[in-house]
Amino acid sequence: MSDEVASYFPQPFDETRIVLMVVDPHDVHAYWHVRPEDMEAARRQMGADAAHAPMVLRLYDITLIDFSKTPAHGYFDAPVHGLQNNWYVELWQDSKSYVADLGLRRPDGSVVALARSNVVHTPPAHESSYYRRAGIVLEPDGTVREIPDILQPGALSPGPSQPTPAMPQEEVTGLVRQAYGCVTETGRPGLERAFLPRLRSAERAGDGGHP
Amino acid sequence: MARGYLCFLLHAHLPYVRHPEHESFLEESWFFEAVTETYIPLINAFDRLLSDGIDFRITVSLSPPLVAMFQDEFLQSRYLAHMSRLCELAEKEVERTRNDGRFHHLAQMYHDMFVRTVAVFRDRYGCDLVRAFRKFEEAGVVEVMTSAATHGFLPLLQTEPSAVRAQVLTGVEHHRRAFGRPPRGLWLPECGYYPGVEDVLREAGIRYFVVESHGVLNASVRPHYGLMAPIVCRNGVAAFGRDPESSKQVWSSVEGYPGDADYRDFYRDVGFDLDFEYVKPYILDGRIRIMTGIKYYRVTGRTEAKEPYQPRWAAEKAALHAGNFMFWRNKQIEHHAADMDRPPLLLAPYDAELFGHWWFEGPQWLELLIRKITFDQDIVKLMTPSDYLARLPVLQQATPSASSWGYRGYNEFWLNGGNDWVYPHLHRAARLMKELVERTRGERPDALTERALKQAARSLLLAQASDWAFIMKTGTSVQYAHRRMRDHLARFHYLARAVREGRIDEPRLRALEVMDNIFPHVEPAAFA
Repeated sequence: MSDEVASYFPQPFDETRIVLMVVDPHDVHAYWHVRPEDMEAARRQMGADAAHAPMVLRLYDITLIDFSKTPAHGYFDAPVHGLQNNWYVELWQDSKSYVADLGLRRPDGSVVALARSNVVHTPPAHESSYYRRAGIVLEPDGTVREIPDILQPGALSPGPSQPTPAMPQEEVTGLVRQAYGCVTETGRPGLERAFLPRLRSAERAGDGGHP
Repeated sequence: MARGYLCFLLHAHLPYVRHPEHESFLEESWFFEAVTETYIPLINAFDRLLSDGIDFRITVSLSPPLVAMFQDEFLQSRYLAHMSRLCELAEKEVERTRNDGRFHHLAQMYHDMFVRTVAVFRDRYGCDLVRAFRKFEEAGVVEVMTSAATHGFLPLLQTEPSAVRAQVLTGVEHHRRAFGRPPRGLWLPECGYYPGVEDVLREAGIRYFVVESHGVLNASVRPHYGLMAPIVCRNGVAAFGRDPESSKQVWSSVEGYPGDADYRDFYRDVGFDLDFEYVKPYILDGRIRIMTGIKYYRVTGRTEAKEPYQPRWAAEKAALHAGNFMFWRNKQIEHHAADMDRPPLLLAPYDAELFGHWWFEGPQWLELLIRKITFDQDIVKLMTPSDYLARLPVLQQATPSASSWGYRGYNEFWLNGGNDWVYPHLHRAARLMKELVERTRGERPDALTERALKQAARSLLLAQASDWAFIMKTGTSVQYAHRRMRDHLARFHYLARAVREGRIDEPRLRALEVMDNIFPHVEPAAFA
């Protein structure tokens, strides 16, 4: 194809954005691009603190909570740099949900965010502690029917039903227990063992662009 | 009465490699070699079993790019030209080795094989191997699954749900058109699963998919039967977990069958072994030595001093290994059946290209295995995932854990320092495509805009193929993978701008349509 078409790659990234992706139960990858004017705006907002403000990736643990209504279980910062770059964050625990802010950190620890990421869920690295035999019957016509116990398929729930979208409380509790090893009275997991991230430099800590 | 089931699954996939803009193109030989060494030998094995009246059930997943290549007239004619050169080389080899007892019978073997291959390809199946698989499906011996449109690795596209949806819907629709019926199963590329992808599968009418073992073992609820039965997602789509024991016996480079000393060696090839002037007409552009497919040695052992291949020894070994595989499956079934209220199921998936291409005797082994399972035992019965779901429709409800069958079981092979640069570009292009489709929604775009939009969709899908990131990691053909990624993204952005600005250069659009002609019926609405 002609050079003209070929010249359409690469396209400059023209919006400020951060994206998280799961690598495995103990690693997430982040990439970002920041428009210079957004960085300028953030620095202006910080005023005098801007000169020495480090750029950080703040990862919030929001496992099983609605972050818009409930504060995170905790957070930690990974120091990063570059308007367009990527980073690998190594984690101590599996089976968690994270969201990240990319921003500049003030001396008081608060962050002026440039962008907020999508939410990622790291998979469990071991089998679930939750066990139940509830099942689903696949009808020949493609519909599905729930039953309480696959070992007693005779004891079927009455009538056809659509699967309920919500996760039953026991399954939620199982997930939490798996993630934290304990469930506290309020249903909020304990934080004793959380948040000891080790950071690993990206295998190729370049400019994040294409080779 | 069988005590358990074996689901033997072959996943066949190659990236869409088709370059009409060049006289000859090295990477097209990936397809030619796989046709000669894997797909036609498997088709021949299934045909022999059918004509012997053997009742068997095998599952084959054919990726949409492979199906498209099977049906592409340009590649069909290039394949015939390739085979005519190969037959010519084989003829010369028969002549050259006339007085060499070690190799003459092998040269004859290859010659006969290539001539028969052409007859099967051209005369029996009219150059379109989809016809073979359609026939097997209609005969009730093969269940054909589909895959994502260009084998995109869905866990790393999930931040753009529209990209995942387009991959799934386009793949399913392409399969339906090629096979005349919708697929029941979808092979998640590289077994790449993440919780939630089942919603798109359900929307596309898919009933089941396959995950790596720990996808089931680490599911949201502990699986009552372990890996010996599928689990089912909340929305009724079933997940079958891979049995690691059957995989290891075939796959493992250390313990696996293909490494046996009597089997044919993959690396020693006349393309590299013989005099340059002699092989010149049969190598790349008469300049670069490549594999021809004519290989005279056996694995022999961990030595460079390879011994000549002995087909009789290899055939005996294939029979021995088929018996061994069956023996261990019987033992597994007997062991698990004792603890279960239903017959255990072993799901054994493999890359199809292992059979024949890497492991020359693989198709022969599989045919022998099927015959032995049919006649020599009654513990295990061959079954497809759909057969299983029809027979045992009561499944434990659990959501698999995110997983893949790649290195270390997750996403690392497709997301690392060598290939992570592709994702910002892929995600951005998917968002842009979505915007374009949404902008033109409601209004009826003129024919030219519609064409450009469809072509942009093709470029985007081709860029999303998991193969490029995979190749960048493996380290061979890396430049080609980089080039494909850059070319498809450039074409996409070029077309996106043309649509946005309403300035479409028709001759150039036509050139792009001729080059990237996959998915003639691609539906832009699937990208929103």
